[in-house]
Amino acid sequence: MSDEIYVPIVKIYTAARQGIPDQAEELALIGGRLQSIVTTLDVQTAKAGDPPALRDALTIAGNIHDGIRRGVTTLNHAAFALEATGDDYVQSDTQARDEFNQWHGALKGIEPTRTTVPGDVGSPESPGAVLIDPTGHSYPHVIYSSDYDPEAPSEDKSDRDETADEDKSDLGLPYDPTAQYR
Amino acid sequence: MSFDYFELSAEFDKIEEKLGYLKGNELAWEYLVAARDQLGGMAAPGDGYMPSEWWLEDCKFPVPGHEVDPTRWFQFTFWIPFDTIHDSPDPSKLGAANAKYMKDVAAGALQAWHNGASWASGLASYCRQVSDSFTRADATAICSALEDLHTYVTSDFSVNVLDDPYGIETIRTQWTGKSGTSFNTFYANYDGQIAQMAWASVQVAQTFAAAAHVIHGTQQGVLEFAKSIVKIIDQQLEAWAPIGPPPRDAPETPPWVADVTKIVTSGWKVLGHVPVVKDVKSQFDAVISAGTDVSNFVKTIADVTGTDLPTLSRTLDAADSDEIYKLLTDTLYDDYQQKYVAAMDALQTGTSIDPGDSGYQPPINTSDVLDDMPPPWFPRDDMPNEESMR
Repeated sequence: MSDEIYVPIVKIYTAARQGIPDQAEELALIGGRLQSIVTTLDVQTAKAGDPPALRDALTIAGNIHDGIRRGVTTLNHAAFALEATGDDYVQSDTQARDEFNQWHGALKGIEPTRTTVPGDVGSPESPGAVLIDPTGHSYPHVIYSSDYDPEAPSEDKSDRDETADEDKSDLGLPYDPTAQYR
Repeated sequence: MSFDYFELSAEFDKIEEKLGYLKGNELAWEYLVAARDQLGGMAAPGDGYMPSEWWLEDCKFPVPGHEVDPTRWFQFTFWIPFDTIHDSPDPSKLGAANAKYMKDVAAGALQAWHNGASWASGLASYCRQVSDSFTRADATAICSALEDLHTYVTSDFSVNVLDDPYGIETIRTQWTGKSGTSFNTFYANYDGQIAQMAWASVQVAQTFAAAAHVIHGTQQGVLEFAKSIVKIIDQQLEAWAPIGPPPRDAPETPPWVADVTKIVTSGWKVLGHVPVVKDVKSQFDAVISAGTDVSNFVKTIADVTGTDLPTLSRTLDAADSDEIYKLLTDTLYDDYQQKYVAAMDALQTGTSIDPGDSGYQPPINTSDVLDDMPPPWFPRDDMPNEESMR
């Protein structure tokens, strides 16, 4: 296995214990930011009447967020896989073992950390939007879709004309005192 | 200038109130004419009749600030046969019946005037319903979110891939053998997936930027339109005061109607189309550049404002409440709501919304974008997973 090592074992452990976890943290941070942005866009999409194009875009945004979550998980796995590979080298390769024994860096005694995977963004493309209080102190706030397909003016006019006719009929005209003479 | 929903809503309330007054004037006037005509008019119904003339009294249409007193236009003629007068034991009772009629007419006219408010009732709500889809959303909030999307997502994806403070790139290039190759493959695929996600986020930004422009442009147009309708009704109420009769001429000032389609397409042309980037992984700078272009466009959306916007020519042929109502509701529905929907729908279908420029395509076609996108990006089969850890 020694012919495989062309990088110092310290670099492998540094990548496993700091480089990859830091990258995972960065990715998780992007996920957190995106979650907040998606929530804003979801609310505004509901208020805009949930146009199909915006729901498509929210589907894509939700997919990106899912990708970030899985990406963080993947990096967590990669860090542990690399750590395990480093351990194999130290066990089986003299040069790697020597380098490891001479290593006195701050990272030597620690294990790779697992980055917390960002929470699920749900289905932002669904009609309407729900704002959940992260503290749990208040009930979720539901934003209903605006009316994308309102009643046409002809229907409103018909209702209005009907009201006018009823009012006119109810009012009528006063009794004509001359009617009896004709 | 950001759109103030409550300002528009207040204009709709004014329209309902004032159009109710205008309709009230017309209904009360119609009522008075019908009540006068019911008596038979100026000509005697036959020989042997005597006219008894009565002027309308104590009848006002109580329009706030524009009270109408129609009394001098309404003289009522009661035709009474000579025989009836002659045979009546108390002819003064005949006069009392006429007086009661006149009193009832004045009261009926006032009730007819109030029926104007009944006719207009719910008009503001209807206007709010018709404009609901394009007035509730906040284009400024969308624009702010899109700037964050570019700064904290698209650009940070690039940082996540390109920054290398712990020498991972060195390991990738120097580590050979089976494990080294696996590590390099993992990162090549990781970077590729992140680049795809950055590219996807630009498509999301492009869609919402195009939509924010539609929302903002339509909102700016509708407020000016509503204000112009209030002005028109005010002019007509002014034309009634103070003694009637109904105005014959249409208002001099035409309504202000925004050309939503032109506003939308002119902005969309500035936004442009997302450039083709064949290999997003190796052209991350092109992805960021496309995102920057969208972000720069978003900053200009709020500049589209005021009465300098392109307009449609609309005129009023008549002066009455029905005509104004028809103009209001048809314009709100056809020239704002339906054009808003057409523009929003076009962002999914990619079809032109301008009959005069059928060759122009909207800045995005989300249907195609979705079809071309291969999520989920993670995990891939060739990447470490839970199983491989055991």
